[in-house]
Amino acid sequence: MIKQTAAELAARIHAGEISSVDVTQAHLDRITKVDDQLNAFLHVDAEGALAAAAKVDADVAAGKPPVSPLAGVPLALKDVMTTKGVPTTCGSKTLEGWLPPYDATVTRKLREAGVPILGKTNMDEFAMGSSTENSAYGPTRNPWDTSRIPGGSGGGSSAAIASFEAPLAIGTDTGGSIRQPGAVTGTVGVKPTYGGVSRYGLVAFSSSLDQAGPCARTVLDAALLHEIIAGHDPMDSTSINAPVPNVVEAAKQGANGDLTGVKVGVVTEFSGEGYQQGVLDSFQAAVEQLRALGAEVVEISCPSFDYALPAYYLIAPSECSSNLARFDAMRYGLRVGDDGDHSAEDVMSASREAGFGAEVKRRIMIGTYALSSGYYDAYYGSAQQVRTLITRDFAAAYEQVDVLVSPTTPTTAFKIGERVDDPMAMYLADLCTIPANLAGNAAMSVPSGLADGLPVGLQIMAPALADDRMYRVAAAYESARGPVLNEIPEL
Amino acid sequence: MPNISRDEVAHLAKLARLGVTDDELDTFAPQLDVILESVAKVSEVVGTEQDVPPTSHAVELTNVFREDEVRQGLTQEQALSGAPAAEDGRFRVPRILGEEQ
Amino acid sequence: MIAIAETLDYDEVLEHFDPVLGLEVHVELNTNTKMFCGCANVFGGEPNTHVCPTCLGLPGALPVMNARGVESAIRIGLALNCEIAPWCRFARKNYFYPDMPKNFQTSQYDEPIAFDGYLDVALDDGEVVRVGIERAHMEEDTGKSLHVGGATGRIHGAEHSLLDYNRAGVPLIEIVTKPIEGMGHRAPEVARAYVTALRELMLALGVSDVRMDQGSMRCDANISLMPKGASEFGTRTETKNVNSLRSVERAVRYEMTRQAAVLRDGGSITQETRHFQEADGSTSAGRPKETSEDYRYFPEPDLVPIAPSREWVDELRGTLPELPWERRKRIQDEWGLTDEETRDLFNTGAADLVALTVDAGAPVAEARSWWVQYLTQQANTREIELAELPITPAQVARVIALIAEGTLTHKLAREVVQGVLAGEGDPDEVIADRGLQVVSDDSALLAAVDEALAAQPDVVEKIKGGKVQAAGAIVGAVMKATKGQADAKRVRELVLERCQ
Ligand SMILES: [Mg+2]
Ligand SMILES: [Zn+2]
Repeated sequence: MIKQTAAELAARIHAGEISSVDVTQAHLDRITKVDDQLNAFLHVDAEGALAAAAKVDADVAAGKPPVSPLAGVPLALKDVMTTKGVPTTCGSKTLEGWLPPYDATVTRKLREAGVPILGKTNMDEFAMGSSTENSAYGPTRNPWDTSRIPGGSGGGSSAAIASFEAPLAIGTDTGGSIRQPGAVTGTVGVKPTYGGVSRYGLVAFSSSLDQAGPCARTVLDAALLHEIIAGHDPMDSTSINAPVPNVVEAAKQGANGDLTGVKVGVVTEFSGEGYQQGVLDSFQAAVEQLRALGAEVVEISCPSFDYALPAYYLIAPSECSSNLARFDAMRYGLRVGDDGDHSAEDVMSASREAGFGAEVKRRIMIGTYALSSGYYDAYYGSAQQVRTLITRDFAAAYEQVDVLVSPTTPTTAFKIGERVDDPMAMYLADLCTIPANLAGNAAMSVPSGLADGLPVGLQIMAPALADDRMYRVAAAYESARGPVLNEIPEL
Repeated sequence: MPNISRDEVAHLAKLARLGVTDDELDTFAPQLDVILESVAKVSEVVGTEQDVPPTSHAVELTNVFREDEVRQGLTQEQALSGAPAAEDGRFRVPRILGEEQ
Repeated sequence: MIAIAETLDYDEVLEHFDPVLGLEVHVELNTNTKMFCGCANVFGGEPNTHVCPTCLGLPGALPVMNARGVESAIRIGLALNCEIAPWCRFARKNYFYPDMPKNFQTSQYDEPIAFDGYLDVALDDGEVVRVGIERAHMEEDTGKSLHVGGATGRIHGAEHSLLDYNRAGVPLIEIVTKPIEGMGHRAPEVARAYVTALRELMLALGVSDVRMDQGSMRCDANISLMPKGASEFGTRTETKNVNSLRSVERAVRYEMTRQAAVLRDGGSITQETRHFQEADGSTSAGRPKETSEDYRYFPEPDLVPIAPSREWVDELRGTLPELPWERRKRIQDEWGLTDEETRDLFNTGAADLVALTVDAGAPVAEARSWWVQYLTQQANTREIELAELPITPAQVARVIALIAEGTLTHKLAREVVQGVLAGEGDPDEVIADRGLQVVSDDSALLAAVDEALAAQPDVVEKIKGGKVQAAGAIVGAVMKATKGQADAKRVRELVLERCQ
């Protein structure tokens, strides 16, 4: 049962063939069985999930129509989304034991859609990282090879779906945190257009870049989940007040395998030095596949993409230095050193020292530096200008092609511990994914096969609000390529 | 441009209310230096380009407002539920040294 | 303990220095809800009961701008003759302080919504001074801290503090003047008059309660001195906690004398925050800052820009009420008042009351005289505002009418008014209860006149001898005998008749 797609499970639950409680229990059992090898979950909410499942079953028994196309299909939620009364840690020690008094909009939409939430998944602390090694609660392991990273920051969500602990998951993507874990675990990961999914209740890392999106094993499953979580939210000022692109329809249309009339641009900047040969080979094969499906393929140069990584590593830390200021031990979170002698200022410093890990501290300091008077123009200001250049490159490219493609990440999953002492090497994992965040465009990763026995991802990018375009191309490619997860070793 | 000293790291840590140990200063200083060195190339590219306005946000929305209508918030109990310490319906914090701004 | 700073004699200050002022006034808007969330914007209340994830700065919560907060800001900008920015943003002002839930204040920085305006301010003698407005920008208020332990209950010496975030996120408009120069000895008065005028303006606009005692209007005064003839400003200090109109004037005056004493002795002024001491009208230095402020401002990424359209701004311009100075001008013209009379009318806060009394049928001159003089005195002795006196304009108009028809003398009228103020009812009831009718029956009066004449034959002789002014003594005796209820004019006529 746990190997079925979300679409299949939904159909069978709604038809009364299987119960949501059974499906949910099967996944809870799977978590019990394999998660000590993976550490994908930080918190499992069996009671909450089963209660939600029972409600769906009751509706089915009463002959009521399902509240959503995914009603009854369980899901794993990245621990960066607030859940009322359910622990939310963001992978940080500072929030250990915190029970939010409110639900994120995404959480609320999932509940309203009858989606049982199995639990909260592991992540790099406050979503800062590309390997999930920066979690205060230990790294998550890649189910393809447990000595390797599952990507990050949303490694928990991707590992959970790759290992059949959950058919669906929610991730968040600031610089690639949905797509890169998707690529290295052989799953589908989508970063919707910025503003497409509400950020209310998503604990902010970098406000102008963060975007929640679906993680799934198939393109159609991702589209079904995308439709549930997307849409305008008056609680988020940056939420787009426009109809959600019809991604489910696009995924279904794409599944017929015909890309005639679709123009695909290959980004020339994303190859060469630093790219693993197997990744490049897999990408080449994927491009050929798209051509075979009828797409017209051209090469497109986006020269300013070379500056995306440095711009990102100024903008994201700057925003995070401010966003994370609220974790000061005054209203919530870990407090240390409050012995009656020390001042509030001392307790803030001591608590933040104890509550944050090294990567978070590094980024807070980088951001503090970049925003300081005297440095602002050269750093933050220039990075914002680079953002303009990147947006212009995208706009020019999308005048010529419908979608852009590249490898999702330059290499397959690396070994745990391999890059922890070299921040710059770690940052390279997001080389190809960052431009779409800076421009606020849509982008996704679909499995494009294996290199040296490990999954590789194909990144498909589309203009803002044209998320449906990439779903169509991804579904067509998926139908031709076939499932990659069939080859995952048993845990 | 950058050449971050231990003192500068200590200053940044202070601005950001981050306690850092001596060991951390030793590891952070060179790391921050490398990172800032490599990201500094953003100023190179824009230096050569004419007329590049900054983009602070990908979304080009303006005038997103809410009506001035009261919405149910949290109860005092909910508000204080995560507090490390509370007293008389208020958040209890250690004595404050600095002045209000 | 803090040593009392030396100060220089005020006149001496002005012999050597020119003061330069800069005033920053924070006004809390009276919107229904806070600036960025739907929590009720009310003063006080049980602690932490008007809070939500957004104004508590909980992880994940986001701000959304209050439309009416922005509208009020634009209306204030227009009333201050400012330009309204066609495009502006909020920024984050980053600094750590426990009363600020996010450890940044959402504020405007280099892109204020309104800038470059002025406010015409009337001084006590009726002279009007134009104060330049640098900018008016939007921001949010902080929570409130209660300091526990220690001797004074103040922040210093406290053992711990308790925080209430009901006020956190309440919309504020910060109005900043351009440097106010060339005011000489009138600088303290200008400062008070400016804040007074600003307060009246906010009341007329209906955008704020502007209760300085409750902190819904707060003033910070930047003061510096430059040697006479110099063109460069001196180092300034910023005095905070100046929370009454009178204190504004006192604080400016004190800082001028303190700074002058320092400069005269060859010292230099430290750029610092100072606190106003209500008790003795002095200012004292705040804690020196360890590190210079670096607020690391950057555009608030959780909010989108504000781009008020021309149509919107014009529409808001159309909602502006008659502004205080326009009204002043109109009333002066309509009632034909001198500058001095106009000044007294507004300084006593009588304008509205007089207008209502006139509406109730009284002539302007009488209405004005009652409110600006007698009733203002009554309010002053009771230490309340004129409008708080327990008498209505209609009651005052009735008293004036009774005088006109001869039913009351001025003296009796004041007694009637006292009765009304004492809660004895309407003027007619007071008259009936106290029996205050004028004695107009000549036969009753004549008896009293004859009695008085008989008692003072020497005076009668004088009158008969042509000293008509001596009649006053007899009139006085009659008035006394009738307990003031006689019409003095008629009594005088009768006295003179008898002595012919
Ligand atoms: Mg301010
Ligand atoms: Zn609130």
